[in-house]
Amino acid sequence: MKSCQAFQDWLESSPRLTLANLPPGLAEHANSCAACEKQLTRLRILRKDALEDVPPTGEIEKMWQRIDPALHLEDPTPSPSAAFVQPLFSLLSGKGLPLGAGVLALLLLGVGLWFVLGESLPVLGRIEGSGGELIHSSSRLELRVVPVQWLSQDRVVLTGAQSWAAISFIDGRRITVEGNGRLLLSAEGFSTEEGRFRASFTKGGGQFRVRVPGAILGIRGTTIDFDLVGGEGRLELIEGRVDVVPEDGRPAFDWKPQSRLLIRSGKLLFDSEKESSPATNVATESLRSRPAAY
Amino acid sequence: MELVQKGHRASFAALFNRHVLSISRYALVLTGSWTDAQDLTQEVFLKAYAQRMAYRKMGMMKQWLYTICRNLHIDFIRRRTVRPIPMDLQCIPGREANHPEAAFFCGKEHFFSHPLIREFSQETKEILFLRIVEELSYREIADLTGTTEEALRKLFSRALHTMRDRGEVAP
Repeated sequence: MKSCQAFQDWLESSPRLTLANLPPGLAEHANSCAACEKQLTRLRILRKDALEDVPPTGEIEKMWQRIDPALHLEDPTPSPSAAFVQPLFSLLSGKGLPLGAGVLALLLLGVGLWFVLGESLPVLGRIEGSGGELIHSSSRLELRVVPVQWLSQDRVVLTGAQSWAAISFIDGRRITVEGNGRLLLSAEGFSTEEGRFRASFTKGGGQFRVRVPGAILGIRGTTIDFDLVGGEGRLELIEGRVDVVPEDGRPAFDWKPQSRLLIRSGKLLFDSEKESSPATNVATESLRSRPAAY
Repeated sequence: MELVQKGHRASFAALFNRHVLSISRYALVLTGSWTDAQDLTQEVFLKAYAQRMAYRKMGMMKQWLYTICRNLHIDFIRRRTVRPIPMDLQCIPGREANHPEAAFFCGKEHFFSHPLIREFSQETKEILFLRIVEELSYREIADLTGTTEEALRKLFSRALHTMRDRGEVAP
């Protein structure tokens, strides 16, 4: 019969601690030594309990539902070569030149359409967030703190009071949005029609351009509160400076911090159009205090 | 895996089903929270799919996924400036009434919170999990953690002796 030390040595070196049958000699020792038997039993129970640790009910399915759409985003649009070239060669070999010429014309048309419609979307950066959805073509992916790729033409919809999203672009720019809103990203920035949110912009390699009803904002790194509903609302510049280009042809102006832009009926509201004009000659008014929601 | 490398998503779904519990458990040991563990597990499989062409060690899929999980967790810790206290490490009386995850934890003892384990450092917990639960060899753990086999043997030996002593005094 082996000693406690031999039993310990075996525990330390055995590749399978939970082996059903102990080596000769150790089984007898475990039967006669309460401490070693207890230790082995505890280790086996520990392992059994650990293997019973599984995610809460339904979470694995939810996990897969979040992973599956992202797999579609990972795959580039398939090359058209397999779809067109192979049938062409088989038809040419079997039906002769006239049919081949027709198929070739179809091929050229198909390739042209592919370039127009089927071009794979470039990756612009990564997005993470909570309480919203990332919309890519027809697929939807719940926003998570786990970053996923942000492709051109992706949109994000924030739907909850505690929603947030952070988009990090390849060129070093970063947008953080907190609140409720609808954003549509373009290669230059994003456009928004409605929402009540705060957006912070960190400038990296380039400028952001944000389209709001009635104007385009050229942003160099700043924080803005958006409050827009149905083409009306206000924007409050918390810090930084922004170039504003009105869409109705009026001259661009420099939007100063701690002031707000008013938007009415999808247009910037200018002094002459306001019921109570402030002293400035641009469509801004000073901020008295920040909205309580922020 | 060859089918997965060709972009066969059904095969990747099968791979996910085969390994998701092991990876979730390992992520739980690393993060101490099911919420973080689920996020980490999700990211592991996304990264595995994105890097499927880089997989070369045929037959060592689980170790490959473990490696991704561990590296992502290190990145996760570096990225996160303020680490919230993992509330689900303990059962808070009354919390389970309106929090399903807390309800899940109440009345259950988990590997990292087991009386024999919870006093160990995070590193030791991880080694004990890989050795006792996942039954990896010292070589496999060394490859995963970047520690030498000799150091792992010493650490495991010390932990076994400590657990034996704790077991003796435990009621």
